[in-house]
Formats: sequence, C-alpha cells, structure tokens
Amino acid sequence: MSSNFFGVIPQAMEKEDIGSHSRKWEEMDHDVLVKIFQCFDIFGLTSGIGQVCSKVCSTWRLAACDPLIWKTLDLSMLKSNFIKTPSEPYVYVDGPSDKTLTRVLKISLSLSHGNITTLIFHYNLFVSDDQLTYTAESWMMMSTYLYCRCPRLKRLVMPAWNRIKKTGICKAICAWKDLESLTMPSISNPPYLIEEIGKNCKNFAELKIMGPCHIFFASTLAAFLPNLKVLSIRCSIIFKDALNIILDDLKKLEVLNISHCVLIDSPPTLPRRVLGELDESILKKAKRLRKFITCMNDSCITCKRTRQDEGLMRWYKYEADFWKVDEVKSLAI
Amino acid sequence: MSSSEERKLILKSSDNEEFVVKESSAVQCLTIKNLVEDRCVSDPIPLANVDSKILALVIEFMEKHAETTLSNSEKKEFDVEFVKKPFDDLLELILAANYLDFRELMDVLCNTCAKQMENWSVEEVREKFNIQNDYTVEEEKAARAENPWAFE
Repeated sequence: MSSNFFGVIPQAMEKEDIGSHSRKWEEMDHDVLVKIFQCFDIFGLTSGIGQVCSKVCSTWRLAACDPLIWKTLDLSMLKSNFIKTPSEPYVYVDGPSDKTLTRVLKISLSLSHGNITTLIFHYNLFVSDDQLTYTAESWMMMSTYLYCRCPRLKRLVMPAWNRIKKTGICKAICAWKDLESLTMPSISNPPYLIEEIGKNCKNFAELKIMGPCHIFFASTLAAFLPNLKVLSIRCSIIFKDALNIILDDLKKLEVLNISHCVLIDSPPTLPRRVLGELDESILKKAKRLRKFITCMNDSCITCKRTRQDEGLMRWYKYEADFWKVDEVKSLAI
Repeated sequence: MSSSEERKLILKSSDNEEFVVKESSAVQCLTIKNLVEDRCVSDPIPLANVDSKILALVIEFMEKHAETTLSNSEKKEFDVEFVKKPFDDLLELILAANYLDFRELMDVLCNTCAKQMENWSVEEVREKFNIQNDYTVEEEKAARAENPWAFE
C-alpha cells in the first residue's frame, strides 16, 4: 500500500499493510473454532485451555460448549497414575488420582450439557486391588453422576470392571436407554447384565467383548440379544462350540470379528486343543454374514501376542493405544 | 491432450496469481473435487478467500501429501517442519484449509494450533487471535468466577 499524499502512512492503513492480520479473525467462525477445540484432550478441556477459551469472548464461549466437542468423553488417558509392577505386591498409586477423576468428570459433565454420547474408560481404571483408589464406593458415586448427566449415552467403552459390584454396573447400564454399543470385559455370570441390556436398551446393536467367549456367554447373547448386529471378540480365547452358537443363533448378526483369537476345540479336552484354522462348516455358516473378520496367522504380531499371553491379553505390556484397535471401525477408538 | 498426460488445473489466488497443479493433488481439497466431479471447473478456478502466499503453502502441502512414493512417516516428518511457521500464518492456513475443505491439512494445523495454545491465558488468546472482548465488566467477572475448581 502506498503512503498518502504527505508521504506518511496513516495508522489504519499501516495495520492492514502488515498483511491482513486484522481482517482475518472475524472469519474464525464457530465451526473452525470447534475444530480446533476438538484437538484438546480431556484434561485440557476441563482444566487449562478449555476453561480459558470459554472466557475469551461470547463467540468462543459458545464454541467451547459445542456438542461436537463433548459428545465423546474419552477418559482413556486416566490411567497413567497407576503402575502395576510385575513384582508382587507392589503397586504405585498417585494419590490425587481419585480427585482428578472426580474433578474431570464434574467439569465435563457440567460443560457437556447432557450431550455425551460416547464414554471411554481405560482398561485398568477399575482394577482389582485394595490399594488402588477406585473402590466400589467411588464407582457408585461416579455412576450416579454418569447416568444422570449423560442420559443420551449411546456408546460405552469399559474394558474392565473387576471389583465393582454387579448391581452398580447393571443399574448404570440400564439407565442408558439409548445405548447402542458396549465394550466390556468377559464376565463369569453374563445373564444378570446381558438380560438387562436386552430388556432396557432397545437400540442395542454392537458388542465388543475383551475377554474369553465360552459357550455360556454365547448362549446368553443368543437368548437375550437376538437383534445383535455387530460382535467383536478379538485377541482372546473363543471356544468352537461358542462360535457355532454365535453363527447359528444370532440370526440378525451382520458383522463378526474374531481376529487374533485362540480357537479352542470342543468338546473340551485336557490339555486344550488349539485349532490352527477354521473348518469348512464354520466358514459355510459365516457366509451369510456381511463381514466375517478373521486372522489366524503365525506371522501376525497380534496373533503372536495373544498366543504368548495364552489368550488373556496383557494389554499393559504393549503400546499404549494397542488395546484401542479393532478391525471393526465403529468399535475402534 | 493425450489420455496418459496428467490432468492439470489452474488455481487463482485472491490477488490474481495463478498456480498450476495436478488435478490428482488438487482433489484432496473437497471444494475443488466437487467442482471437478460436477464438471463446473472454470479455467482458472478463482479462490477468492486465499491469497498467493497462503495458496503457495497449501499447494506445497497438497503436492507432498499426494506423492505416492512417500511413506507415512516421511509425510509426518514433512508436517512437523511445515507447521514451524508464525502463528498468524497458521491461522491463515487454517482458514484456507477450511475454505478448501482440505481435511488432512486442517487436522495437522488444528492439532498444532491446539498444542501451542495449551498454556495460554485469556489475554494471550485475545492478543494472538486479535479478538475484541465483548463482555461487559460484570459479564467478565461472572465468566471468570465459573468453575473455579477447574483451577485447583
């Protein structure tokens, strides 16, 4: 820009001259701000920058509350305060973790205005050990928050719940009437939960089990979740008779993922007989599925790890996000 | 033009500079891809919201990411260097990427921006984004008083 008649660049023109700095930022509209805010993790959103952003100006405040940012509450990073060492019985626990979780939850739940539709916990958040902070009490308190403040929850990822009372889990899960997708550990007494899900969650369609699938589990699924569409049992143990029940009796099933599993022959023998491949009858039954995802490959790292861990995958030994993977996109994190 | 020749497009910046790019690279921008698919491509394609300086940078990123010979980690390395720019440039690039609907570039830029902002105060944010505070004194006090336990 050229100077005016007197050879002096007036203040206003000078500012523009610096290169449209002042012009552009009104264009930093709601959608762009939301995209940036979506990059903050849950700690940032609830403590640091998230709080700052809501105080900058009214446009930013609106953007910071946008449901897009809050529809997924990913607490999977809330685990780093626990280090479970292999040498018994030593466990390192960071004292403030319980407070941290409570605070993060409180803030997220209030800022999300009931918009949370996906909730993700880390696999060792509720580990079995009295020295670890999360007692049944903590869970009861937290679950009250959760099912009051996320009434529209559609997806829950809770890979482990060792020491939590059954009734607590049942109550919480059944309060979520819109639940469509659940990632859970394997449990020894499935009916109490699966039956409740079947009764209460009319749109329930996707299940991921992070643990062994025996015939009891499979027949419970068939009995109480006849409309199940997607099932993922990966990196675990699956018994042949359970697999047959899944293929025969889950009539609405469209997608089945049994990648990297250790397939055990039925009827049971001692020692267990591990099958190296799927036989013709199974493959035939699976043809009706839209997607049948398998991997039983000696050279596959994930298969190898499952075998090494004897079907009970020790996720803590591997890369931090390894447990989040799933060949079924909607079940991956 | 023989069928084996790479199809090219001409993009024109807001300050009337023209850039020739391969169509196969340019369609990473969904705005451009839609024009191509709807056969509405004018010659050149005017991009009213992007100046030449920023468009050149977008094209640099675009062509790098379109290269099939590069591995993902090589592209990531490029990204790390690419975002080492003044904050103002990053914001301009974000607006351009948003206008062009260039998702990959948008993701890289938003992540970078978010990381840089992590420890900023309210004042710093206002300064860097050149934002006018539209709160009254009372409103501001009330906003700051919210969620005080967030700062424990």
